[in-house]
Amino acid sequence: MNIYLPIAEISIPLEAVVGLGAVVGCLSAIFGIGGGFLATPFLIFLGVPPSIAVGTQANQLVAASLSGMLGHWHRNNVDVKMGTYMLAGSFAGSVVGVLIFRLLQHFGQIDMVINILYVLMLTTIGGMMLFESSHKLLRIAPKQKKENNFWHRLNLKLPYQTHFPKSRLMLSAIIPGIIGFAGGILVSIMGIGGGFFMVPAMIYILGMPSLLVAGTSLYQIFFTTTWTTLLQAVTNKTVDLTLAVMLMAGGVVGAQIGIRLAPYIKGAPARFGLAIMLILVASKLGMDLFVQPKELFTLQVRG
Amino acid sequence: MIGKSFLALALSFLMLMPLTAFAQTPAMYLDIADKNIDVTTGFQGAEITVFGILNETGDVAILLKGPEKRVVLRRKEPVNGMWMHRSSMDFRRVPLYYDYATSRDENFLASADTLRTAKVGLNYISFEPDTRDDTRALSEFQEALIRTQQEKGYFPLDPKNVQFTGTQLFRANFYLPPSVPIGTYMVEAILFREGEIIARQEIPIQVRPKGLSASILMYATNYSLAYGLTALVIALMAGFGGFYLLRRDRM
Repeated sequence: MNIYLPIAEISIPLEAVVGLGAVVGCLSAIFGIGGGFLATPFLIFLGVPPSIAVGTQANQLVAASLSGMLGHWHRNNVDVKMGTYMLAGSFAGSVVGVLIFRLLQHFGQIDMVINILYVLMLTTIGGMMLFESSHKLLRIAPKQKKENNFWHRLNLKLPYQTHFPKSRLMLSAIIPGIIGFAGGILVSIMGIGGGFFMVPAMIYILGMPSLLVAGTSLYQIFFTTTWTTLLQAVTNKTVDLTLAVMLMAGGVVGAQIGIRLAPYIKGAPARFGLAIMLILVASKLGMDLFVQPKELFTLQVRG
Repeated sequence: MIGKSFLALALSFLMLMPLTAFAQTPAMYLDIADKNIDVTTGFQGAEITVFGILNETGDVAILLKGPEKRVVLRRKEPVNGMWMHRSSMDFRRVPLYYDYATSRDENFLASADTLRTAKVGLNYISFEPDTRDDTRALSEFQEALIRTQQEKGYFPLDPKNVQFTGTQLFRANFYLPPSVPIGTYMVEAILFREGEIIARQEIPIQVRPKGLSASILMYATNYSLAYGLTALVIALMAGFGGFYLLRRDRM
């Protein structure tokens, strides 16, 4: 059954969208990942214009990050001060991201840039996950990470040294600001929360305790996507409520399925499988960039 | 249903004929069963049936033209092995939808020039480019414009037939796909005789969102802040709902 999306002005199969929402919700319940990286390219593949896929994803991520954050909030695993400093950066980042998106769209390069960013991102996450899970599977002990001297030295030179009591850190406020800024750009260009980038950055660059990292990044993603949803709705009018509701409905159902499946799923082999899947998706997207397309021309209606 | 209304329409035409026969009899009458196409959330495409009656002999061409917009065509070229958009051409006033039906092969209706001015058939419509430079590639871009529109089902692959019942009554069927461009469409019937246009008539059709999809579009364009806040409230409900459902299961 097809459903008409009033903002995107296209008709797409209802089952495909709700199914996509369910798969994303299921994956987030099992692996604790956002799933935006799966949803945005798939929506574009279904024929949703990239700008609307990204704008609507921001709205969907509000729901996903809120339910994730609440769990961490209950266990008191959110460093609100750190998250708020990051938010200052990410609010600015998402404004810049929306501008970059418009510029790229005007020059007709947005599809290609989104494609390249996804190839880079999926290869990175897939590669890291493959490395980590195969080591676990083969029972190789992880090497002890060296202290990162570069960031430590840089931090001491920067102004606005701030105390973050919950994380027990003394840091220049600029560093979390920059990480948030990059996260904000990712939300408004790629339609993902950016957790894949922020979580390692918070561990290795900020040196936050790993217990607080997931909750704090979700706190940050929740407010960033809230802000980006309003920004996209008011300036670009790219939030399709029909599409968002279908994705969210699928997501709630998918999370229920995921939470029931989770006890039967072993961490390392499942992450290994997911990593293979991510790398396959990345290579498919990469092929699209380098293999001559069947149709060389694309048509776009000027607004 | 269409058959019935067609018959009713045809009958009313026949009854009106003696009255109008005294006045200057128009060469052709034209009507459409439904002048409004409502695009609802469950829209699955729509059929447009055009009826008409001829008071003179001749050949008929019926055009269905969608709203005209400015479009840009972009061409991909390899750059270090990577295919990216390199050249582009803007076209003014391109109908986002175009279909046509004729009572016989359009090439025999009139001279190529006449067909070109009347825009009958894909071989005779042309699109004005906005940039005057680079005229070499023009035909390539124009062909690509038709091809990409055909792929989406917005331009026809083959011409349709105008079907006659007897010698006077005619009808033609068009189909609008589910992802139809929104706007004012124009149905135009042209009567040809011996290569000359002797009559033409136009009827507008409104293809517009209706019901829930119309309100969503209206709020998104006119009250975008309220719309954004509504989207957020729905997301918050889904987020809280998702969390409490999951927590109940974990306990």
